[in-house]
Amino acid sequence: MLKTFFTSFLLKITYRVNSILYAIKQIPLIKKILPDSLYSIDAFKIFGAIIAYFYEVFSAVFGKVFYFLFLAGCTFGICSAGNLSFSQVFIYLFMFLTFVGGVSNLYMFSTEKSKYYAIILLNVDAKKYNLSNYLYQIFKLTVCYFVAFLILGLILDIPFWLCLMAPLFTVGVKSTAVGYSLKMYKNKGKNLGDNLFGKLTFPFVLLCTALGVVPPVFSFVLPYYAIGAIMGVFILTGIWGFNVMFKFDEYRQLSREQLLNPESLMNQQTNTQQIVKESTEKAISTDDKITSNKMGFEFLNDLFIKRHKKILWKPVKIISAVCLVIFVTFIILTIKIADMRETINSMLLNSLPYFMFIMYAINRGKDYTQALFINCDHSLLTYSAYKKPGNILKLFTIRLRGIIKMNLIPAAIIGLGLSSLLYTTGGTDNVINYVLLLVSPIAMSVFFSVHNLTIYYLLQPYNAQTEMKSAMYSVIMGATYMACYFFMQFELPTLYFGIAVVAFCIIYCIVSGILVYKLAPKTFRIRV
Amino acid sequence: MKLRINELSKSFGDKVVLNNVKFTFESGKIYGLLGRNGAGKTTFFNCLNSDLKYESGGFCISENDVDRQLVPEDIGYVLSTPTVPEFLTGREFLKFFLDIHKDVIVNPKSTDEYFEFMSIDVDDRDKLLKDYSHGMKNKMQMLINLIAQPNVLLLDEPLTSLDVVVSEEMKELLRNIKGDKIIILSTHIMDLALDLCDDIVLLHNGELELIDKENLNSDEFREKIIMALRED
Repeated sequence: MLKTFFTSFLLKITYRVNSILYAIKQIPLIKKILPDSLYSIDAFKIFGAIIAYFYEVFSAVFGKVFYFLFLAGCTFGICSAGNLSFSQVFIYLFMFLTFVGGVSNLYMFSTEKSKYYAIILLNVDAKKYNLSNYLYQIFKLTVCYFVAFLILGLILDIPFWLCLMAPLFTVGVKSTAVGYSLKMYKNKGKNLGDNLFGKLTFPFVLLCTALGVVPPVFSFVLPYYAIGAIMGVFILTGIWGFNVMFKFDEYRQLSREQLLNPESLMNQQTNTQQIVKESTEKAISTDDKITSNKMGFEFLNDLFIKRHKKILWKPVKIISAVCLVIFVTFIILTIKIADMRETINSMLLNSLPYFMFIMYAINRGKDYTQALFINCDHSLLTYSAYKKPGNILKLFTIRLRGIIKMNLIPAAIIGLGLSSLLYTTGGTDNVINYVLLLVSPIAMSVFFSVHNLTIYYLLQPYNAQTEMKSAMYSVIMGATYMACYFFMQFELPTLYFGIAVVAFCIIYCIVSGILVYKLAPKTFRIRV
Repeated sequence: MKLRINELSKSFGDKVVLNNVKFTFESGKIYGLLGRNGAGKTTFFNCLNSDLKYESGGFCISENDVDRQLVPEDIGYVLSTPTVPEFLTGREFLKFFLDIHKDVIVNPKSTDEYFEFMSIDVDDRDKLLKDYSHGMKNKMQMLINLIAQPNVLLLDEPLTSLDVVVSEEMKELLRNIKGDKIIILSTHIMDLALDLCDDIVLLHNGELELIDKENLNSDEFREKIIMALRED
């Protein structure tokens, strides 16, 4: 098994090294310096390997650190609302979120490309591959969690025995879930993979999150011994899970079904992008009542929006409804519970930067441009009339209007919600704050809409096979994410931040307009 | 009308794909562009269609001995894998292109007349393009390219995966429309090139070369082409 693991690990590293070199070769300027033969030059391969190994360690540690920071942040937020100690809430929340991880990321059934290469193309023993890689993932998790909980045990007053149990509990939950999934395949022929509860997965995740968050807000958590008992149960069921894993002898069939299933995951050419492509193509509405009375590009865009309602407007409606429910709940709570008002009022007047990330996360621009390319521009960009500068700019304007309109609804709800909350939490002396809380989310929404569409037009990142081929596009989108995440860490007065955001949005829109006007006729092409 | 290729060069890294290409295509002819795998046929088409930047040289259209720069409207590009917007019906796709070309179409016809011209059944005209067969998508792609009335029609392996009936219909169509156009057809199928094309042009060693038929019979001509390609 060890030999199989090292073979598959080296295969994964080789794949990663080549991907890194390919990505570097896509960076403007650098690509001109690098030779085409870089894949065969030892120095480049060593450089790629160093990054690949570093990534292996970094991804193992960083993901966990990020998770613990997230957990600490949530705990801190909950503690400020209730009367419980940080340690009590932390371990309680950790337990419920581990159940969420138990139905969403089991390690065993991943379908990454290197697994496809190993099992399907290179005929590696599927049982040895799956088991050794699962044990490797579990090893990384256990080591990181032990270290994390030992540190937490020293800092916080979580009992030491609970700190020792927590990592084993995580392993237990995952292994129980894997064992259940394998049993279902063996006994009933159902290939559940990661999706243990089917349509009930989302309600289960929601329930676990609610059970983890809501009771502590009302100052209730399970005592340590009860948490310990639950953890103990799952450590034992985890042993059962391992037993199932080692006895299971149909890994080859199971993996082949998962890796070759065209409906769900990847086949020889596919990857995540292929899945996105297929789902986007399937999203076209077949309703024959859909028509349009418009002309030319307005006609094209009108039909595009109408036939993609499922992927364009449905999420907007869900996001809007969720925002509405959240704000109505908070407005009612702040009217009823006087203690909450001061904290929320202070947050509203200082935490507007936080909404930069929220507005980024809910913006539909990236999905919109993705659907645009896969189902529309991919085909139409091969026709010369479509590529005429005047037509490119005409369609850009129409699309910009559409994308802004789409994102404006949740933004307006958030803006109105924030202003209303400011009022119900005691208001402010400066009336401009009301205006800024209303306008800033809308300005951020417009900014992200313009940003997504502009970057799409200026860098058009896809090739004819609808694969993302622009490292620059990925860098800019990644930098946007990082910048928004960075803003979350700051508390700035709403008055100054709001004015700065609105001003930035106006300037950005003007600059983008000029850039698109000047450059898009040359850049909006299928990548060859 | 002529399409002049003026010292066109294109490389990918160290590999020179188009090496100072000089050539003149004339209207009224179907040119068969032959070359081995990786010779650069699609690269040549992509350069012509402004999808790919090239290092030097360029193209121009020459009419009555007056040269002008090639513009996107001059080119129609029919790909081997037909690309059509699958969220539109055949009729909507046609309407969209008729709308955006309304200023250039001299004698516009009704959408049904265009469908008739392309032998697309009445039942299929209001279906979503995603439900069209490969051959029907190909016909739609060809129709849209013809509506724009381009001076140069580039066909990249256009008949490869069509059934015999559609393939014959397309060949007949190409013969009928070649009068005022330059049609360049890239193919690997020698029989198709010899059957349909007026001239055979080889792309090898980064250069375009017209193969002179002289007084050769078809077998001798075929042998001459293969010999030339083997020189790569």
